[in-house]
Amino acid sequence: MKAHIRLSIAAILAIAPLASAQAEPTTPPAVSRQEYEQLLRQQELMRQEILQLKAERTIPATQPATTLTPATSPAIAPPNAAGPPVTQSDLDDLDHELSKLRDQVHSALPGSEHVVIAGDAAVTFSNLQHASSPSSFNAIVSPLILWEPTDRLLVTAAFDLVVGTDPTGVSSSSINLNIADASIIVNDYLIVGGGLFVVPFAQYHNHFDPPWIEKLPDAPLAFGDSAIGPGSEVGIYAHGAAPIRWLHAPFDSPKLVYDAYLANGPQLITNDPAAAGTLNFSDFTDLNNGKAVGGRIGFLPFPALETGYSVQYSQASPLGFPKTYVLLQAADLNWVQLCPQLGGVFTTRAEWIWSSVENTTYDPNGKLGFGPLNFGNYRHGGYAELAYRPTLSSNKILRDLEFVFRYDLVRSPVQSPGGEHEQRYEFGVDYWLTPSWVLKVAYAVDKRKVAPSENALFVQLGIGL
Amino acid sequence: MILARMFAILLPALTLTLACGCSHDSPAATAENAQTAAVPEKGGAQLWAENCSRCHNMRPPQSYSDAQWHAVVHHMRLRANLTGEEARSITAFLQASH
Repeated sequence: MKAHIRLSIAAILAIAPLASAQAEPTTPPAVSRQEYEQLLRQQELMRQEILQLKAERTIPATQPATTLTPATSPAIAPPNAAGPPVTQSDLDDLDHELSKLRDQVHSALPGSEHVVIAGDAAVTFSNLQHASSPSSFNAIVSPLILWEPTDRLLVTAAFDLVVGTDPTGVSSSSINLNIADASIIVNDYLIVGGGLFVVPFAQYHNHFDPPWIEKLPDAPLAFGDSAIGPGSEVGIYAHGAAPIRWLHAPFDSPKLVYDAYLANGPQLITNDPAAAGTLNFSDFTDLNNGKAVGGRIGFLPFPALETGYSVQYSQASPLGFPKTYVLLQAADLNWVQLCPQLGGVFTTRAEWIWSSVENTTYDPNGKLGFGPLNFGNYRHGGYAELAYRPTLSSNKILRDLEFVFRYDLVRSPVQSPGGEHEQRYEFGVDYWLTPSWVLKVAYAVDKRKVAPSENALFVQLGIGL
Repeated sequence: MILARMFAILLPALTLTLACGCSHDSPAATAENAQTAAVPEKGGAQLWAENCSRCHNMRPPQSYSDAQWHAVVHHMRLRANLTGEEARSITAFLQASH
């Protein structure tokens, strides 16, 4: 098993430098102070020229233009009264040139133009049908800040501002940092970075979890509250994509995607009788000197289809606990296809995670009251989602509707703490108010083996900012 | 049993899209593909349509300024698995279109 992991990681690391054969063209240097001053002078000259031309339009044709508008700069020659008349089109051209010049000067200055504040927000109403808890609204705003100090460097920060009411009626708010990293473009096929980053493990967290991209109001079980795969981690990473030029028809622009990273990794929970043997992906500190290594290989045979395989291997136990190794693997697929014969677009997404925490003994002395308990926690789960949007319909309301179905499941040993077999069938209808505003209504049929099942109704407004 | 259920959902979906004789074009790129079928290298508009629509609806080019689009596409190189060449073409298209 370890040999396979080493092979996978070696393959990921080997591909990146191979793909970097073609260097990215060098970007122009930053504008110097001298060039900036020159641009300002040119802008001022053009402004004066426009004022002069406007003044000419207001004077009688017989009067020499030079007597009306004194030239404030010797660089501007007096207009030739015998030349062709200035038209509105000429003035528009000058205005356009001036505008472009102003943009160039402005974009050369350090400032807000190189910062983008984007992100997403959602308001969700959820009603658990068979639980004693009341229905509840909750809201989340997730700003994404992009700062590009140079053409090659990007600093990214993203966080969730959350407010909600729990089943006991207690409201709370929180701020959760999800991304805080810096990445550098090495060449056309390689980017390296470090910080708190979204782990390239399967596709969900990297692509689908913003509420205006996820087609249902809640996350799949394997990626949601009881996730069995990582979301964000602290570490360093390399990412790239390269065209596969030797593959021809039926492929269309086939592409290989590769990721490799080294991170603190998940934490193995060892002292909680209700969760021993599970992994905590939310605490970004490390419990030991062993780091998580992982990567993903993706293949796009044509632009509408992406498939991938991810792997992560880590030593996840805290210091003082016997070393316990964790192997996570995932397979993913995303296919968006226009079908003219069926009048719309089909989206098919499927991801599956296998989580393997090796055999170990929890609470070996019985001091915590639930041991000794020896088991290996082998969990797996995933989802398959199908959506259809009749984009070719002549009816606008129908065109903006999307019908979604998802089957998802998580399985962990029922003898283990927190063990459960849970599966859901979720049906949803989305109405797209704008390309980035969507109103979703969904109903989930839940089936659990250990705990009582909780069917749920969701209504959500998802917004891309 | 679980795999059987997964296949029960996935197989019809995948065979449906294949069987209906769909092209490999993303929805938004279909019209442009018809115009650029003979051109070997894809333009920024087509790359924008193909890569963005794989995950989400596309933002209009007017959404951001030139410098902001540069930063956004830089970010999307990581998210949407773009090569540098693709990112430059998409950026140029977006900057020229607003």
